[in-house]
Amino acid sequence: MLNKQLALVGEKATVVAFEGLGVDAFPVESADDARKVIARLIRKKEHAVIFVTEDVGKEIGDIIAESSKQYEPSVVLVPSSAGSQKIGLRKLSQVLKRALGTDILKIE
Amino acid sequence: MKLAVNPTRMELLRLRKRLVLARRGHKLLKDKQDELMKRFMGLVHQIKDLRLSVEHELEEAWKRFLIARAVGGAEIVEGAVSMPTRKTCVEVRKQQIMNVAVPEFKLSTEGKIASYGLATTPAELDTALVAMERVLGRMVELASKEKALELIGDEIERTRRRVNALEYVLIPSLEETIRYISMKLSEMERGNLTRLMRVKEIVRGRT
Repeated sequence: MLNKQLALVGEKATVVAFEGLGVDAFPVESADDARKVIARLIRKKEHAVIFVTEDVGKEIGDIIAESSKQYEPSVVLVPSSAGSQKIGLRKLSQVLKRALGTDILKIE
Repeated sequence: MKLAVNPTRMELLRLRKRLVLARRGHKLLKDKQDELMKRFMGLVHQIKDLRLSVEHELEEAWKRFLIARAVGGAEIVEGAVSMPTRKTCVEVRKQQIMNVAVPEFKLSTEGKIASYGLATTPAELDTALVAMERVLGRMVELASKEKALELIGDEIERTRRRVNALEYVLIPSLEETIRYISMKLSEMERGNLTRLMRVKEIVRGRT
């Protein structure tokens, strides 16, 4: 059993909130910035779960999709303060399509 | 497609053994696929509900925090949360589901949330942090389940490829080759018989 940290990547205005709970917050400004930060976090494996807000996550779907095949870390899309854009659910339906050949939840 | 082998009895026996093995492997993989599918479907429905409720709760928590930020001022609020005494980490436990290694996360925390002066910060910040704390546990649960789903989904895809390769490629080609060899062998047998009969006739004609 291992103890690992939690990380949250997103816009500065909101991610700092979770710092108060002891989650490592990584504010990012642009998609390039986010790409670098998340690639580093995935490589270092110090964080078991990386939460990424949807605003940031929609730009870098490729990295997130790639990480889904690894055992660790778990990259999870969460809505930003602007509200859910259903990107997290769409990722779920992609997993379904790959495994079953069809989207049984009919999210789109 | 027929395999490139010599039509001999030894080859025939060897291929028959391979066919039995392939059939057994196919059955096992098919069973594995069915079981994986069962787990997968169970997870899918849990995750969908969990995700919808987490998203809803998190949006509420964000809203509370943004209100706190607006009321208390960005700098004060950000300063208040930037030095937490609370330690949060997750225990990662390796779990095997049908031989797929899946991490299981469990949130563990120590220390208090409110590590800032209450006099200068708005009351909304306290409620926002409590709301966030509540949703964080469920977010970690979601992370654990989504990871399991992704890994199992991956395994289903791989198993399906194997099952299909056995069912539609290897087993039919083995069957075809076995048929080809046994036909060839009986053809040779018949050829041999007629040759013997012919030779015998010639020998009988001479005496």
